[in-house]
Amino acid sequence: MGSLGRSSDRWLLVLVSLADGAKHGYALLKDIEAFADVRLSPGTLYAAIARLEDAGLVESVGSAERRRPYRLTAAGRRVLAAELEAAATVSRVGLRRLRGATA
Amino acid sequence: MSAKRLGDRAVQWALRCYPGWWRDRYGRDQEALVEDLMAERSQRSRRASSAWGLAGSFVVGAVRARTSGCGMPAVPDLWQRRARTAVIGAVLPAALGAGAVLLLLGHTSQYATSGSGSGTTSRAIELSVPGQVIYWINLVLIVLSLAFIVQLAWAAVGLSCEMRSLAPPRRRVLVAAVTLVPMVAVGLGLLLLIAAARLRPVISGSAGIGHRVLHVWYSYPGHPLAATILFCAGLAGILGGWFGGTALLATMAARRRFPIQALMAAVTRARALTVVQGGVALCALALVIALPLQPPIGPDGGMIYRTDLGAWTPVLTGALVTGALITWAATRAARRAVTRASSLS
Repeated sequence: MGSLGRSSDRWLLVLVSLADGAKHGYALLKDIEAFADVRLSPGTLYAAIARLEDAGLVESVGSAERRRPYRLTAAGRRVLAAELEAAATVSRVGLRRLRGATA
Repeated sequence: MSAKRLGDRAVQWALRCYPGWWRDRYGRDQEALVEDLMAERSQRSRRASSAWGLAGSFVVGAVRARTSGCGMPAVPDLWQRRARTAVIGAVLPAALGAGAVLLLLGHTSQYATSGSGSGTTSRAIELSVPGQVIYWINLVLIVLSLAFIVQLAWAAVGLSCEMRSLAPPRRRVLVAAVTLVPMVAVGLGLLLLIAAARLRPVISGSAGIGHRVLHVWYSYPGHPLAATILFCAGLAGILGGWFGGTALLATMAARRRFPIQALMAAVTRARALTVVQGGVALCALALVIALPLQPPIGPDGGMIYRTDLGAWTPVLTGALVTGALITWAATRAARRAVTRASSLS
């Protein structure tokens, strides 16, 4: 995610939301609100989608409908898996140290 | 018009703020999202978005899309057009800002009274602390303005040389000459002003040539008509050459008379100008803050700085700060756009 810049949290949220299948804009907003309790603004959401599409991590599903769904690409899956692994490692170390400090 | 309809219109207007290529790519998608969010609002959901909130979000998104070019398709023509627009955006505020700096400097002066009544005096009287700050700001502003002019002249000469080597053979001389038009016009205009000043009679307190140039339009007995004509021609040369020449350069850049590599050279020079321009803008801002902080002159007399520009001072300062920010953003955008356009073409 390093190449995506400072606001990688938003892009990570979009990637996580798309991990279980394609979603259109409104479904993405609602899903992110449900699992992260973060309400992205529409302007921010589409800026994130555009950046992720440019980076080749997300693609739109060919659809004639106005509500065009987006899905992860293979590269997007790899990047998301690596990011979540790194986050999980940080989380494990942090929790272990907290337990050690209170014991 | 009801508040709800006004809000809906604001959202539609905000969506139109996005660039055309963005609307082609995400426009229908965003309109559908707005419909969904509005439907949610009509169901009075606890966390439903307000129309004004949506509009604000889209305006911010549109500014971001325009400045970053994020999501722009990899079409060489589109990126070249973006590069040219960004270069113009980076150079024009610097050209216009020069006039604002001269106005600010020329209209800020010391005013002193000795206590026996109001009037300008040459007696040395202590300045207040804000007054001393203004004194130093003025000095820095003069140094920065001189640095700005020298840097601009150096940039114009360097750019002219690079344009000459990069332009197509049959346009080389034209392109190199046009690049120098603003600086040459200002130089010639200054020479005319000096000639006009030399023609006017020397009066008390105006022996220095700089002082005589600044006061040449004052009507004094024995002031020759030739001095007035030369002064008007000099002023027209400076203003017309500077603004007209810059507009000519901008038009040529927009009409693709300059190669894309030459634009990269312009961007590099505009970035260097941003530093000085930012410094000038900060000084002007400090000036606007410090001027009203001066204590008024008491019955025992004193000295303050004052400006004849009145309410125009904050307006000019705002324009300078905005210009510096635009140059900074535009040079960033231009650098990216030129690199991308070069890699695509």
